[in-house]
Amino acid sequence: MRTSSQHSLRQSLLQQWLRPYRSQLAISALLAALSVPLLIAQLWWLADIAASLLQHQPPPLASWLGFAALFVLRQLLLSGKELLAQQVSRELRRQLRQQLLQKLELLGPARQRFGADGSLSTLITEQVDALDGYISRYWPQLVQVVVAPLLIAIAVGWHSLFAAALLLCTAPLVPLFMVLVGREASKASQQQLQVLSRMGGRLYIFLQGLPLLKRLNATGVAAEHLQGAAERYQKSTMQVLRLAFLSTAVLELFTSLAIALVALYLGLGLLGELPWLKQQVPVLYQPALFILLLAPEFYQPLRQLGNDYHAKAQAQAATLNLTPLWQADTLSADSPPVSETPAATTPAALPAMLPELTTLSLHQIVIGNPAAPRLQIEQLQLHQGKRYLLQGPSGCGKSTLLQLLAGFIPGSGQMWLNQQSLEWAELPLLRQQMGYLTQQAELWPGTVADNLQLAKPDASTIQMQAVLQQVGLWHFLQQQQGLETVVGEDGRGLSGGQQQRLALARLLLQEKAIWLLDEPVAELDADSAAQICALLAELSIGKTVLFASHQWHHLCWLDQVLSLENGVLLANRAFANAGLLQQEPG
Amino acid sequence: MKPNSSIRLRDLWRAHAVGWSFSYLLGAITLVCTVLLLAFSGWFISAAALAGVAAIQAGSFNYLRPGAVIRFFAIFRTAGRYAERLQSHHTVLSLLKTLRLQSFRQLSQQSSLQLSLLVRPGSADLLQRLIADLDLLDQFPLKVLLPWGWAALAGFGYLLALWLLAPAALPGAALILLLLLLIWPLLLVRLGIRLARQEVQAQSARREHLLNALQLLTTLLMFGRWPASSQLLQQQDLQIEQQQRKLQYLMLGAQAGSQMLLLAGLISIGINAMPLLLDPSLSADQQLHPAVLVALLLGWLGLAEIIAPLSQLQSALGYSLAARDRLNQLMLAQDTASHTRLIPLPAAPEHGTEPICSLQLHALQPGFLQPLSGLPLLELQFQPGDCVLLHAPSGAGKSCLLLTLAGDLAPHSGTVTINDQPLSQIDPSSQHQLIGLLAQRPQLFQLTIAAELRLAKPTASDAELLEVLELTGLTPWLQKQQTGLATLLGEYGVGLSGGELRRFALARLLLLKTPILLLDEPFAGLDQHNADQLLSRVAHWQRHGILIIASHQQLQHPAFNRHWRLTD
Repeated sequence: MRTSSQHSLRQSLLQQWLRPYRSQLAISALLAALSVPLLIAQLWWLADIAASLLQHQPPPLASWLGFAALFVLRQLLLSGKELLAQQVSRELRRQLRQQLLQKLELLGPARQRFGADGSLSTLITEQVDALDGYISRYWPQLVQVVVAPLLIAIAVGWHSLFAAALLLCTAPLVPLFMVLVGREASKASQQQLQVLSRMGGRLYIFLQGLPLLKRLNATGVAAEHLQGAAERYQKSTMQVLRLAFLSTAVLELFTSLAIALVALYLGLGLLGELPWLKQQVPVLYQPALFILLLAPEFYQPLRQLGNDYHAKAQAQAATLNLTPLWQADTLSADSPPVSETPAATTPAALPAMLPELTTLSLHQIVIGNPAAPRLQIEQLQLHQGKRYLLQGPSGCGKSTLLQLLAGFIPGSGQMWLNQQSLEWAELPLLRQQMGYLTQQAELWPGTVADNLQLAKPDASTIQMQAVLQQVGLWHFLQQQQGLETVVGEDGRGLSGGQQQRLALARLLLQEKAIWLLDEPVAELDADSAAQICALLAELSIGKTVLFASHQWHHLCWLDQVLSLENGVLLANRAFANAGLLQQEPG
Repeated sequence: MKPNSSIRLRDLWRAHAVGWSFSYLLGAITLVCTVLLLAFSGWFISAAALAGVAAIQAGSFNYLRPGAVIRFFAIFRTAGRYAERLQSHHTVLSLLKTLRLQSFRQLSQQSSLQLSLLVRPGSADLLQRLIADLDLLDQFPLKVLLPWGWAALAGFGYLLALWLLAPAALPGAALILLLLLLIWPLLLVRLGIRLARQEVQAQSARREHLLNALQLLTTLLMFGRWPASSQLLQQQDLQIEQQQRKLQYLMLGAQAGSQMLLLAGLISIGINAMPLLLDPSLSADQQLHPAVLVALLLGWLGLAEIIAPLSQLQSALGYSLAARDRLNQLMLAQDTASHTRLIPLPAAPEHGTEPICSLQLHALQPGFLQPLSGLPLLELQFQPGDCVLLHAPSGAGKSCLLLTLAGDLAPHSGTVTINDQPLSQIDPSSQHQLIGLLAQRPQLFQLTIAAELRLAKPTASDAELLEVLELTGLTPWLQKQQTGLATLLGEYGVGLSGGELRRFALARLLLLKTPILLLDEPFAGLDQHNADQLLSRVAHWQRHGILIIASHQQLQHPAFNRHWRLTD
C-alpha cells in the first residue's frame, strides 16, 4: 500500500516538474515522429536504386538525389530533436535547482531536518542531474514507440498485407514486451544502482575510518572485507542480471526472427515457391526490398526504450530523494496549508522596513500539526532590552521558537509589533534587526577579515580590530597573521571557543538590536563555555536577547526564563524565581 | 602490484584484458551477425528476384540454404548480444572491485597526517566524490575502447568484402572509413577533452561554492548576503549549462559529420561498383552480380549503426581523463608529501617478549603548522608501570599532544623517542604496535561484533574477545544481543549508546596489547562509580606498560601514580 502510494507520488511529482515543459518536449517528440515518414521515403528510394541495379541499369540521378536529400533532412530533424530535448532538460534542471534553493532559503536553519549540508548540496547538484535521461531521452521515446511502428506498418501494408500482418501479429506482443522489458530492466537497473551505492557505501565507511584502521594495523583485514563484500555483490548482481537481460534478449530474438521470416516470405514469393501461392509472385522486387529494409525499423524504437530504461529508474530514485525537501514547506505546516504561491513570501509586495522593535506580542501561535504541534504559545510578550533564557530539554521547541522569530517557519496565530498587527509574511523583515548565533559557528573558509566583512563589507581595519578585541580574540590573532589569519574549512585553525568568538565579533560589527542565540555553547567544553557565556553577558547589555540552552550554567545574568516542554510554552518568569525552582548544579 | 602507481587509463583495460577481450569478441560476433543478416537477406531477395519463377524448375536456385543461413544469423545475433551484455557487466563489476581495492590500499599507505586532511568530519563530500570518480572510470573501456574496436573491426571486414567482391570500390570506401574511424574522431578529440574538462571544473567550482554557501546559510540570510550568493550560484549554473551546450554541439557535429561521410561512402561505392555491373566487356566471373552489389550497399548501411556510438567518444574520453586526474591528484600529491617524511627504518617491535619500553619527550613542542601557544618545551620521561592522568585546560592542545605522542602528527619541534629511538624513524606499522590511541570520536565499520574486534587482532579467539568485552563492562550488553558475537553493528545493525560505543572502541584497542596506551576522554558519559571501576580494570590490564589518560573529569583514583598538568 505504502509503496504504491509512494510510487504514485514520485510519478506525479516528476510529471509536475515536467508539466511546464510538456509542449516543448512534445515538439521534440514531433520532430522525431516526422523523421519516420522521411525514413520510409528514404528507404523507398534505396529500394528503387537497387531495383535499377538489378536490371543492369544505372539508377536515375533523381533517386540518388532523393535518397541523399532525405538522408540529410532526417539527420537534421533528429539533431533538432536532440537539441531541443536537451535544452528543455537543462532548463528544467536549472529551474528546479533554483526552486530547491528557494526552499532552503525559506527553511534557513531548519534545513538540517533534511540532511547535512554535504548531502543537501548533492541533492541540488547530482540528484537533479539524474533526471536528465528521463527528460531528454525516455519521455520523447514514449511517443516514438507508438508512432513509428504504426507508420511503418501502414507503409508495409500498402505493398503487402501479409508482411504487414506478420509485423502486426507481433504488435499485440509489443505492449506485453514493454511491460516485460520494463519490469525486468527496471529490476536490473535498480539492482545496479543499489550495488553501486552499497559497494560505494562500504568503501566510504572504510575510507572514513582509515586513520583508525591504520592505528589498529588493520588495513589488510579491511581490504579483505572490502574484497569479500565486492565479490558477494558481484555474484548476486550477476544472478539478477542473467534473468533481467533474458527479457530484452527475447525481444531481440523476436526482431531477428521477424526480419528472417519477412525475408523468407519475400524471397520465396519472388521464386514462386510459397506453399499456398505456387508459381505466383505476391510482392515484386522493389517493394519486397523496401519491406525488408523497414522490418528492423519497426522494432527499433522499442529496443531503444529498453536500453534507456535505466534512465527512468534513475530519475525515479532521484525524485524519491528530492521529495522531502520539495515538500518541506507543506510538511512544516501540516495544518493550514500556507499559501501555495511563493509570491506571498517575496518581500517585493511588502514594506521594505519594519519599525524598531519595542514589544513583540505573540498570541495563540501554533506551529505544525494542531493535534501535536511542534510549538504552541498561548501568550508571549517580548520587550526591548530584556534578556530571555529559553529553557527546556532538547527537542522541546527552543530552536523552533528562535526560527519562528527569524521568519524561517510558517505557522498560525496573531502577532503584534509595537501594538501594530504583524503579518506572517512580514516576519522575515524583522531579520534586519536580528543577529543569530548557531551551535557551531558558521565560518567561511578564508581569512578572518573575509569573515568579518560578511557582516559589514566596508568595515575598516580599526573597526575589525576593535570588535576582535571586544571578544578577546585579537591577542591570539596577533600571534598569527592578524586579520589575514586563515580560517580553514569547518573553522580549522581555530578552537571551538575561538570560532564562536569570531562569530560573535561578526555580530557586534552589525550592531543588531536583537540577538538570537541557539545553544551557542552546547558544543564547547566546560571552560570555553563559561568564558563565552561571560563574554555574552558583558556584550549583550542593552540588547534584546533570546538565549536557547538546555542547561543553566553561567546564565544567571539573563532576566527572564521561558520554560518550554514538548513544544508548549509553560512559564515566563523572572530568572531569580525560576532559579529557585531549579537546582542549579555546580 | 606497485603500491604507489597512479591510475592509468590503459590499465583499466589491461587489468581485465581477458574479460574485456571476451566482451569484445562476443560483441563482434553480434555485430557481424547484424550486418550480415541485413546484407544476406537483401542478397537473397535480389537473387531470388533475378532468378525468377523459372529458376526453381530448372533446379538452379537452392532456396533452402539461404533460409537456414538467415535463421542462423538471427539466432546468433540474439545470443551474442545477450552474452556480450552479461560479460561486459561482469567485467565492469570486476573492474570496479579492483579500482576500489587499489585506491583503498593506496590511500592506506599515506601518512596519518595526510589522511586526517582527507577524512576529517567535513570531508564527507570529498570522499563521496572520490567514489563517484572511481565509478566514472569504466566509461573508458565501455564507451571509448570497445565501440571504437568494434567499428574498426566492422570497417575492416567490410573492406575485405569489397576487395573480394568489388575491388573497384575499395579505394573510395577505404578513404571514407579512414576519415570516419581515425581522422574525424582525432580532429575533434582535443576539443572534446577540453570541453569535458572545463565542464567538470565548472561543476566542481559550483559544488564548492554551494557547499560553502549552504554551511553559512543562516548567517548569510541574517546578514542579508544570501541574494548575492544565490545569484552567483545561478551564474555558475548558467555557465555550466553553456558548457554542456557546447559539448552537445560538438557531439551533434561529430554525428552529422560521420553521417555525411557515410552517405558519401554509400554513393561512392554505388558509383564505383557500377561499371563492374554494367561493363559488357568483362567476363562473367569478373562481372559483379547485382544482388551482391545490393548486399554491399545494405551492409554499408549496417555499418552506420555500428559507427553511431562513436559520437560519444570524445566526451567519454574527456570525462574519464578528468576523473583519472582528480583521483591521481588526491592520491599522489599527498603521496609525495609522505615520502619526504618517512625514513624507513625497521624497528624491532619487541613488545610481548620484552615489556620494558620507555617513552621520552625531548624539548617537545607539539603543533600543526605553528606551535601550540603558551606551552613550555616538554621534557618528560615515562616508564612501564606509569599510570598518568593528563590534565589540560581546554584549548591547551591536548588532542594535538596525544596525536603527536602517537606518531600521527609530526612534532613542531623536539622529538619523541621510544626506547631511545626517535619515533619518526620507526616505520608506521611498528609504531602502531607500540602505541595505542583511543581518539575522542569512536568509529565502527558496520561489521559483526567479532569482526569489529578482530580488526585489531585477526587471530584473536572468541575467549579473548569476551575477555576484553568483560573488562570494559560490555558483557551485559552482549548478552542482550541474540546472535552474540555474530551480531551486526552499525547503521543497519544493532546500535550502541554513546558510552557503550566508546567502551567498545576501547575494548578493540585493548586487543592490540600495546606497551603504551593513550586514552582521550575514555570516561565521558560514565558516572563516577562506573568510571572508577573501568579505570581500575584498564590500569590492571596495562600494569606492565604505560597508560596515559586525558580527562576533564576530576578523577581521584589510587591507580594514578603520576599527574601531568599542561599549563599556560
